[in-house]
Amino acid sequence: MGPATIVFWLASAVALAGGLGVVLFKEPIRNVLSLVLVMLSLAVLFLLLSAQFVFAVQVIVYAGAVMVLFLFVITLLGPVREQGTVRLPWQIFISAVVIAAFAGFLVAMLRGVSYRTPDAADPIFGSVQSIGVGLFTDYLFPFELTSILLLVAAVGC
Amino acid sequence: MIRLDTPDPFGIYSNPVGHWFVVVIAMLLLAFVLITATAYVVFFERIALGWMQRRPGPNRVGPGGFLQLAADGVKGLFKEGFAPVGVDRVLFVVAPGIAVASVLLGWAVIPVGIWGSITYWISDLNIGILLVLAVSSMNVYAIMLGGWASNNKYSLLGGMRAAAQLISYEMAMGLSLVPVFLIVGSLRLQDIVGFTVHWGPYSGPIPLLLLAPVSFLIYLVAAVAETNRAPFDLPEAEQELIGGFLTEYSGFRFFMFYLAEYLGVLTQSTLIALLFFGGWYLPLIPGAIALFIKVVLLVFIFIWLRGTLPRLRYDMLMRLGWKALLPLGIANVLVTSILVVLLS
Amino acid sequence: MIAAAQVTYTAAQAWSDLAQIGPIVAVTVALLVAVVVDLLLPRGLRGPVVTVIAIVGLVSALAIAAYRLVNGYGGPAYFRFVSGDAFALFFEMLFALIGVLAVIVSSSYVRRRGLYEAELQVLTLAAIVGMMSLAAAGSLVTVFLGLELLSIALYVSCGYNRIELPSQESAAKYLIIGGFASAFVLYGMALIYGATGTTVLSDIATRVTSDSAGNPLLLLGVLLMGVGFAFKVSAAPFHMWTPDVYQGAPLPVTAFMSVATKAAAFAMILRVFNYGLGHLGPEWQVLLAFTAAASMVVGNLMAIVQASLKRMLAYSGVAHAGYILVGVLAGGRAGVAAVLFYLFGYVFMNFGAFAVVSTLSGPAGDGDLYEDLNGLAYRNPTLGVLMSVFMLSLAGFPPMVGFFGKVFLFTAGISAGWTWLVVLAVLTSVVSVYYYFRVLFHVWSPLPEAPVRFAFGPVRGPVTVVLLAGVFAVALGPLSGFLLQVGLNGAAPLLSGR
Repeated sequence: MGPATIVFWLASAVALAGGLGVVLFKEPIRNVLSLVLVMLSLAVLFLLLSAQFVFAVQVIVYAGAVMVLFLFVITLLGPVREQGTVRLPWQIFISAVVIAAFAGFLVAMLRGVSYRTPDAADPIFGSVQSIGVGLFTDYLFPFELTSILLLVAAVGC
Repeated sequence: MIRLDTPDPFGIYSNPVGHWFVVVIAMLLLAFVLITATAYVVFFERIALGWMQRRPGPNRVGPGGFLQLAADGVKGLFKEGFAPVGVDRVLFVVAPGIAVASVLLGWAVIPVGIWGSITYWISDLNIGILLVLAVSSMNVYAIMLGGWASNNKYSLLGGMRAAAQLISYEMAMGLSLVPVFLIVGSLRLQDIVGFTVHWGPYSGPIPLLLLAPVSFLIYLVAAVAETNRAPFDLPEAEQELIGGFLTEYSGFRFFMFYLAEYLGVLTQSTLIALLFFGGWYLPLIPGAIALFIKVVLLVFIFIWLRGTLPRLRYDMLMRLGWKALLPLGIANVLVTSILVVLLS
Repeated sequence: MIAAAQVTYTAAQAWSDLAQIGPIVAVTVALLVAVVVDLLLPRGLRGPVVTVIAIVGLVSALAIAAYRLVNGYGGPAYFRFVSGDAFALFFEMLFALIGVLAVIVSSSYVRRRGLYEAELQVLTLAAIVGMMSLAAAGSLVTVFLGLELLSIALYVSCGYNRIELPSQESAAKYLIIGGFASAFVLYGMALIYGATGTTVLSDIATRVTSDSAGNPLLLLGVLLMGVGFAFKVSAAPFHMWTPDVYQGAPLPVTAFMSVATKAAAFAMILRVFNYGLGHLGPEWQVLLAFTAAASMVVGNLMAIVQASLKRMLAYSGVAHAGYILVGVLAGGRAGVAAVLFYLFGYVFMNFGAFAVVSTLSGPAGDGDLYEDLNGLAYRNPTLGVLMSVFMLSLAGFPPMVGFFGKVFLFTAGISAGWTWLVVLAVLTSVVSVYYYFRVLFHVWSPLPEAPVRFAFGPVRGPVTVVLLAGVFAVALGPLSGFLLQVGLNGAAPLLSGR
């Protein structure tokens, strides 16, 4: 087990723990911070895949900007806990059954799946240069479409 | 990995144990140098501000007040770390740690020229400066969480201001660096510092300030905003928010925020020196000293701004960020890219 | 220092790629010009000018698409991420046409309701760009971006009348459910990418063969994408959002999304399932057959009990999604052509019906109860007659386009062996006659004694649109042979790749 594997398991564990935290914490601010944790550990996973640029963008955009806006709204709520009065009494039981069923279904489907061997990577894979060239050749159309998407989102708000 | 840019003297890099030894020593050394330097940045600021405001400044402890910082440090360490009722314990304690960590982490990719061709850096990443931007944007969490966890409405307002400020300036900051990347063709700080031109008889390094002056201006403004210093110190704003996010902090935790702010000034000054002033290149002067001179001058600019400009109002700050710096940054990118294509 | 990658993309290639997506470019340019003009002009001029710009952009998109369709079609462009083939051009024409109609109707509607005009047109244009990209998509990436573009534009449009609670409710519901559906689609796409190593549909089509049916990654991907697609076409059992969203949204928006989103979503299903994952037919067909049957039953039964015209048309839309899915299931040249034909006809009859309802709205609100239609045939004979035409067409009566559409769909379904589904479809269409005729009953009932809730304001624009839609709905019946030929042409690119 090399260092990369250890980092992978650590980051994955943190990401999963963060995901659970998003769902399970009762205080909204802890939910948001758990989400930040998920974003950061995903960034580490990107770095492991030698996608350095995606790592930086993940940290700057998601952890640094998007989540700050979440936090901006959540902090206005003050230190309150979620009120648990509207829950149906048997909701926990039902959701546990559904979760178990879905998890079992996923495990059953994915057991023994043969994953593709990854394609051999370029020497410049993941670098800023390769992403820049990719955006303006192979991925030109989706790139431009994304810019219109963002423009429309800006018009909309 | 840590490397001095020299031939491997004793085969120490190829030996794994020796390598780790070097790594740990070098990192500790870096942390020590930085924190000491930060103390002197604080001292420098108090002297310079006193000079600008025609008052003596610190002059009691030690010769010329030279040991004032040591006294303050000891005081900060031994004071009671008081936490008021109703604070969120965990976040209240974690926030100052995030503040310091986010500034220190950036030094992972900042190279320092020492002598001749000997350069020191910890990690050589392709994304280079983007990493610094990424980790320094984490600083806002420290302020927001500190402000929120304090359970004080002034603190909370400070935290909200920090968030709004970050969102307004992060874009301009990133955009202002794009022309530099366009000119140099790399994001690595080593490449940016080592950028050379061949203009007729002159062939050698050139400060990028001459090629991207607008970038420098935008970056300087954004860097001041990033470090939450006057005239952009709205999250603290003693007069209106009685210290903002710092209101409820005392003792060691206050000290950590304090450290983070001045460490931030040092980091940003070093970055500006590397990005726009040719880093450790200065004719006839060894690298370390050249870089030192540039950093000191830039730190002085930070202090000078604080001593000269009044604090901006909240809406003025947002307007400056979104309506002045951002369009200017976009225009700057456009013009520079057209020029780069035409001249290449 | 890392060597920069070599860029090999010539100017000639760029121009040819740009020509392939000509209609999308035309609408995009109109969108950008509209945004800028909206900022520069004085307030009173903005609305009309932006409307004119939108119409010019859409008409030129229509012209470009028609020109390219007549003068031989293109093929893949932009590294196969998008395509200018006959299928794409067919849908681009369709969306441009709907766009023109929607822009005219909403221009009059927002003026009567006292809302801002320009932004709504900009959002409509953006949704059309998304729909066109979706229909022209050559890659899962483009599919997803197109889907998001149209969805985000429509989320905002639904909440456009933001001082009214129903409009807000509509936007919030659509946003949450739509986001959920997009997440399903995206997860499914990720799994498909994991299994095949590519997002390009033509590569997926070659890499996914019939013996990859055992690959669980692919199956999960198909399942998740299928669920997301069913949300988007509002097919049962994922239709619950439809009535609430349709009811709360401003009427022209409802009209636009009831037809255009449906057409775009079916274009997406055809591209991804029938073309990209064609060899996995047996797997997704099970899923879609269940969805189709459920949609027909649920849609038609629920439509009967509705009191609001908008809700009734929403459930009727669910039912029609079920009918169209029969054609998707049948697949092949006949099936796909039948789907294209039906979508083309459905657009006009359903949009026309909504446009008629939209004329009943005034500053006080939308007139969407059956009672509001009372005596329409005498108050405004044109609208009354055309409303009858739309209802007969939706019900599938012989001279109308709806009848031919159903005939093509059902014959394709029977020849592909989906007899039980077609029997169910015919039975449920008989049920649907009840609620379509209920509308006719109110339209032709004598003028009410009490004053009507909504008098007609200045509705020349919508009446023109209703007339246009009516002419299409009637004329496409006799012209169905021609339209089917166009549909067959459009179907061809989906079948040649394999």
